[in-house]
Amino acid sequence: MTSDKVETLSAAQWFKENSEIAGFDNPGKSTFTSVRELVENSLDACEEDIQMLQMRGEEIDYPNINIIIHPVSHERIRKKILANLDESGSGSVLEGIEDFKIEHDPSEKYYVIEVADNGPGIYHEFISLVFGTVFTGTKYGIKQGRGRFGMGAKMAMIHAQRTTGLDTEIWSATRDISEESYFRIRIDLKSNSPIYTAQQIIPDKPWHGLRMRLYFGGNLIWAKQRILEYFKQLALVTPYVDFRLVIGDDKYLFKRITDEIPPLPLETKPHPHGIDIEELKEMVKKYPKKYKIKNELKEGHPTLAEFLMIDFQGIGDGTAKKFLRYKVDIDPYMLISELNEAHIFKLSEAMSSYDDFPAPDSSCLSILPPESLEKAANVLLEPEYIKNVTGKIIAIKGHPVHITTSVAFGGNIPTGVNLYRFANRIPLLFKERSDVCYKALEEANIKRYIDINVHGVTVMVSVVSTRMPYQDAAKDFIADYDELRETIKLSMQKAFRGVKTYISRREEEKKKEQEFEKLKEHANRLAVSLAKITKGIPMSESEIQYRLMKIIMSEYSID
Amino acid sequence: MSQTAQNLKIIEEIRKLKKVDQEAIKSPKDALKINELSLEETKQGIEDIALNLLSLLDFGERPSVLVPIRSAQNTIVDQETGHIFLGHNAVTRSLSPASVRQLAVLIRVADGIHELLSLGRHSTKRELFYTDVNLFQDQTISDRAIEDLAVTLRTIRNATYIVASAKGKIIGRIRFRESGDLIDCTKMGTGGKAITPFQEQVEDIDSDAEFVLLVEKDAAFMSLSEAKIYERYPCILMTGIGSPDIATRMMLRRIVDETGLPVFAIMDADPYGLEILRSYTFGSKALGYETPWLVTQNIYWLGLRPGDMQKYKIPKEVYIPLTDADRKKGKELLEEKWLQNKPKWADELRSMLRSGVKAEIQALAAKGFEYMTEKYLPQKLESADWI
Repeated sequence: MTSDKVETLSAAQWFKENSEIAGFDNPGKSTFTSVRELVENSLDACEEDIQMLQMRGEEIDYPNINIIIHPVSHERIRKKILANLDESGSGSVLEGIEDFKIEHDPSEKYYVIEVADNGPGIYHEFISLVFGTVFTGTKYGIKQGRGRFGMGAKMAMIHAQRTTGLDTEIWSATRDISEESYFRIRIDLKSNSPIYTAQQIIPDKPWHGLRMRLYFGGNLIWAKQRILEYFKQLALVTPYVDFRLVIGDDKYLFKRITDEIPPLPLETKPHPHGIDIEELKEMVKKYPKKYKIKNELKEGHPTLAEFLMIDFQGIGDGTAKKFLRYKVDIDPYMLISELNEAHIFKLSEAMSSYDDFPAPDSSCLSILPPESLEKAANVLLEPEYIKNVTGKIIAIKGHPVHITTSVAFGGNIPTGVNLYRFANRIPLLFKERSDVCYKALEEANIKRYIDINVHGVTVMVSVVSTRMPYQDAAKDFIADYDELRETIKLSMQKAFRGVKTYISRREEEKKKEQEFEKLKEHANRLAVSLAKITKGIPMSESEIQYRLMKIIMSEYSID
Repeated sequence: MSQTAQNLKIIEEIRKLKKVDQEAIKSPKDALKINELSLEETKQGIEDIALNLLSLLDFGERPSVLVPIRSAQNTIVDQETGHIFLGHNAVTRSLSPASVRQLAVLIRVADGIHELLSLGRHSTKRELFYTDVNLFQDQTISDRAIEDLAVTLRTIRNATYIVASAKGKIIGRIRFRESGDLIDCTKMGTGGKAITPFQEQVEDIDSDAEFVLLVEKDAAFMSLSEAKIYERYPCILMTGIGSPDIATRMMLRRIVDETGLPVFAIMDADPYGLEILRSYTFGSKALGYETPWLVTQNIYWLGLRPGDMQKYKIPKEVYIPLTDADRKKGKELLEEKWLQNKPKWADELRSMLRSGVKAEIQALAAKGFEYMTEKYLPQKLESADWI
């Protein structure tokens, strides 16, 4: 969010009409979604900050995110609206009163949520732009992201605005300027533009990060357990973050477990399988009249071969020409400006079906090291044993998909099976049964490996991709692609086998231990009786005991 | 016929029986050799077991003891006499997970017995069990270990100075000294005298009886003693109350050894009755090593035999159908070698299996409470209806 590449895209109205997809379809879900969007917004900002600092070789700040959710009375919301009115007399607040439901849904209560991070913050002049329009994101090339960067937070703002009529309050500070920016913003849904109802620069307040406060209608009774579950699971995959969560009078602390920050995603060019015809058309149409190839700046439009080499990953001169000549049957030296619709259609089709491109580059993925996950799982789940199966990468539609499966077994895990799904290191909590991971788990047939009537197992599947293959825009679950399901199933089975081996080894050890204890106990008895019968000649009781133990220990290789 | 005349007739029949001279019963060559050890010898034997274990330990070897197996799979039957003995098969009890507990139990029992022998006093199985309840957990465990120890020492259980509590009973025309006291079994009321487990304290057996009447169960003993059967017929009445203990078997053996009297047995007409008859006559599998001291040779099966049921017109209402377990047991007995020495017993068993029914001694009461003493017994004895 410190970026200067801010782009305005589309209208806020769309989200208002598609609140279900955005996760705001009922008071409970809206509460949950508001929390997660603000938290994920902060996480993304903090991680980007870390990446930037790492690149500059500077010391990093470990992410520290504080979340407060507190009920607010209907009366207080009314008073606040009136206070705002007194303060500014702005029309937007009048609009707020109209929006605020006097006859409100009884399942809907009012809450204030505040999320504060220690990320990079946003410069004063960008705040209104970043938060004021819906389809605005700090847009980069292709890399793994939490997906709704910037937009989710704005959805929460619109939701708050619609249910209470109150503006969003934002405090922000950056590292290089020792002052704090304060804003009160609302979004004009008609024009998709920000309305500042207040803004202020407070000098001499050196800190950095972002703090947002929203008043919204929701249902915390429904959402509370899900919010807690979300943080419990999120803490597993972001163990380098401190989360402080306050819900009403209850405080929860998810402390940072590891210093290790996973390698953060790098930006890459798209893979030829990952571009559809519309995107291809857009790329060709908007191509500038100068380009850079092999560090040489050229004027005019590039040839088709050059275009492929410059704009797609893993394509060299040879691959480009071979592909264009033999697969597309088109002259590689043709300039892209000469391409007509038919050419583009042919090219697009060939690109998506050509099998000889190198596999998608996975350096753009941020994969949590299994050691970090294991460390986190040991603290948060307190299992007896963890088996990780890592490193499987497949390609789905030109995007690399990386799969890690960790199975935590025994200890404090309650009997039965739990499935934790992570998509780009964000827990998925809803529509489990539709998810590819659930189907893979069914097919993996855990009962063949582990007796789940006796043991507790938590299966954690982390799917990471530059384009997460969600089923739909609600992004509640990952789609059931055969190759993906099969890969997840096999990695689960491999992990289960590991657990099975552990169980049998443990049982073997337990048996040995019991045998050893039994031998020891009886050896003591034997020593007493034998010494008594022989009156300590030729050996004393302790001598007999010592020799018996020596034999036992030599057989049980215990020192 | 007057009662006196009847009695004379009976005595005459009984006297026709060849007096069996109970010669010492010899173990077959392949049987485990068992000796009656003195107190000192038993004590020394236990010390030897302990020293042997310690010498293995001295060589750094896993200490172990070989214990002869006391069960059907290690039974040897004397081809000539049918007597049951133990063979040489043995199991190792050692410092291994599988048998360390049994080794510890055996040595703990040896320790207890060694202490008793040092004090020169007897103890009951129960007392020994209480020396280490924690280890034994169940009295059957220590009981078995006592017999295992005896057979490991190649001796009989009595040599361990461990006795079972008194179980068998005796009444009738016999006198003996027990621990110095003169016992007259004609003056024992109706309950009889308990057969003491301390058999070595029984001396000077004297009797004017003509036979021993051995009954399987206490109920039959009670009704016969109440009827003072030994006053009507010159006899000694005994029971082991079901499966006999060592003391009862030993007492019977000694009475027969010293008086040469024949023994008439009254058992239930079922496979278990026959099995009890076997243990008096040929020995038991678990105590096969004690056979030379415990079996009595001239025992005759008087009743209640399967053949009697028709012969004495016992009403069908008191017949009990054989159970599957009865049939199985019956068939097993028919396979056993000792029964070949008693072809008539075998015939009775076969007829029982054929008829598919069994009966208890009490079945005779169906013909009146005094039927057994007044009719059945006199008729049997008079007609020498024993086999």
